[in-house]
Amino acid sequence: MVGLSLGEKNFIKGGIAQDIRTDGRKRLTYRPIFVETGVIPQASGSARVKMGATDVIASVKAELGKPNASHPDKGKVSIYVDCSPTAEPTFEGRGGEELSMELSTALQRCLLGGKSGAGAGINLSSLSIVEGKVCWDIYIDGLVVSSDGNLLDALGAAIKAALSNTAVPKVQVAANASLDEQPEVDVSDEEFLQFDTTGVPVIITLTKVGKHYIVDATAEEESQMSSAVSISVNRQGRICGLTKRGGAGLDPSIILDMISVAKHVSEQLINKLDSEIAAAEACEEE
Amino acid sequence: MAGKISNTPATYMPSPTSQNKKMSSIFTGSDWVRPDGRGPHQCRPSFLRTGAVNYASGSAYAEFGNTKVIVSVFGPRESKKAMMYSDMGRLNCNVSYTSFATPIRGQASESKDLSSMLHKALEGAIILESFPKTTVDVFALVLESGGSELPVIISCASLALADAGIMLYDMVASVSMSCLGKNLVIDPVSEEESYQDGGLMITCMPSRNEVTQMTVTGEWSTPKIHEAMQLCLDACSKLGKIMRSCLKEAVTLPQE
Amino acid sequence: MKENEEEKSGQLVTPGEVLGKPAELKAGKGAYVSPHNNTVYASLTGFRTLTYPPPDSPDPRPTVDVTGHKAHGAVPEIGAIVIARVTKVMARMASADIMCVGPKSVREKFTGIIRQQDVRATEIDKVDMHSSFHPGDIVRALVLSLGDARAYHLSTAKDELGVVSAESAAGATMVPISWTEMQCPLTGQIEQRKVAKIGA
Repeated sequence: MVGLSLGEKNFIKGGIAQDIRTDGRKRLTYRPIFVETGVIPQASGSARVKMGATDVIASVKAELGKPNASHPDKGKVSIYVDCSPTAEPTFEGRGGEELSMELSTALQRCLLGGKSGAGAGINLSSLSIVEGKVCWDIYIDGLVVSSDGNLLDALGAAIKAALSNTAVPKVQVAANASLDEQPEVDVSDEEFLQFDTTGVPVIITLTKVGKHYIVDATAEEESQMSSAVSISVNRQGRICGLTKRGGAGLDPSIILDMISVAKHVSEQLINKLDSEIAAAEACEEE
Repeated sequence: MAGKISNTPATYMPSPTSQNKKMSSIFTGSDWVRPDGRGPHQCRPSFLRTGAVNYASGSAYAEFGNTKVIVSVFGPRESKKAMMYSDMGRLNCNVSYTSFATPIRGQASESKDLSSMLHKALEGAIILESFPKTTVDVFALVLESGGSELPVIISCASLALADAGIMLYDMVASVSMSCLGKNLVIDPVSEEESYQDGGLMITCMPSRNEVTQMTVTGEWSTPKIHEAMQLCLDACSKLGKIMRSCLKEAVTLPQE
Repeated sequence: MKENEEEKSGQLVTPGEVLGKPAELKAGKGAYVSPHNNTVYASLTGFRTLTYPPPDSPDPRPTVDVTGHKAHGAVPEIGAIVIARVTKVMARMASADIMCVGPKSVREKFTGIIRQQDVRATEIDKVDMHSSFHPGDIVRALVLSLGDARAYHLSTAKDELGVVSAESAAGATMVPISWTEMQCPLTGQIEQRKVAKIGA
């Protein structure tokens, strides 16, 4: 981020205080969201999401694997985000590592639920094929192509879109397998199962600038933030995860206020995303 | 508690599968008892001391039940040559586990994640302008992992920073909470943490009443978050008082 | 009222404890004013001390300091006088390790450089670094700026700044004989230095 002059900083802060941001939006308005699905043919599912100049791609790959000993009846999901140097030269080499890790951890926290699997956006039990023996490993990879703020929300939306685009092959388990052996499985090339994404939450980041907070901050606005809270909310309006960025302290009552604002915003965002995803799917089928 | 012992197989091989199922039903039932017999909103007994490491500028040792943590603070000292020039001071945090900290040797993971969480929790409480261009290093070592490590590390690190004489806006106290079925339990032990449906951690500056870091995992309804936050904040302010009295004790008692 | 204040003075406080309102107190060492709720807080562990200004000063508020316990190791700051040991002399600059900041010794190593133009106040373009400093010399210098990522920029361009102690080739501590020369008491050999005028 190139440094802003004092005038520009005051302009951004003043605009936010008066509920008119530099691009004409209100504090709680998103930039137009553009969704494209099936962008990566090699993946089981993929999507590209653009919000203004922020451009991210998420891909989902399903592979057969062995479940963890501690959760034999569950599949595994791993989320990893890569910040490409094409987005920003500072991401080159190890430069993007810190941001990648921060985004990956935040996404895991927001999408994968508690340790017991409760509240997870993806039903891990549905990924089990043979208990304790075979399950699906879902690898979700995010790529930041171009960054202009609000990466986490965009990645969350891209992952939601990619998951609804994902088709997991049907698996036939050979019936004659004995108990101790690794059962033989037959992965179908023709029959696919659609992924259930109704429970996948959306992530809403509220960025605090001055006394107010805004959604979908651009990079310029983010450079002026004192702190930001990312809240993931599912369709039922329940909180599925929360992370805070930025060192400045926040009053607990402000956090509670942010949660209720996020719940309100999430309804619009979920509906908006659903229609965009449906449109993108329809477009792809044509 | 007694039931749990009789359920444990007599062989030396642990059988996690069968044990797990019984455990989780104990936790989520309505007439459950916490593994260490505490009340749901009762924190573990804690022990805090400053000045655990002589060589460091400041250090602290914290013990919460079975979780034992030692934190040393070095500096302010010259930043590494590769770093860019900065008017402000820098904070560098590192969390590591001893190889014997966990039941299975060397199992401790995510220490990189913990380091960045520690950094985020502390950074807002340090007056970085007071040591320009230099770095303060905070090294935390988990001697024994008994659940809720991160909150213990954070509270202990803030005590070590105060002991080192680093200028702070306020002390930083941190408490976590687990949601098991309908129950909310404060300051969970590892067993409870591994079966939790949701977790919430708050790091706050008790005297200024500001939250520096907060994470939530799992599914929560709004009233539950309100309740959990309130319980955590209460516990934080109590922990803050214990931390202050620990610091004052270190000043009034002559050092040997 | 006054007695109450006296009582509070000497009280032991820890970071984050409220010391008072900025309308009544000025924040000194180990204290800060938080703008968001207009309160003076302590930032260190130590004893609270109040210093009253002289009665004729325009600001009648006493200053509150928190001192007495450990403070962090000294850090060089702009305008501070430091004592440093020269480690390397090059054609255009000399590097030195800072040992003391003001009256306090540092706990950690800090590197400083004295550039050619900062050695003395006059004829700054004619300075020969090798006849100003030798490795091992102890110099008194002023911190000009925080410098770059690597080192602090130091200056000896004042009468009272420069080499305060140096060893001759024979290994004896030399005696200053002028502001550019020092003499070895064993061999009588004269060496060139930028000598500090002590006691000026």
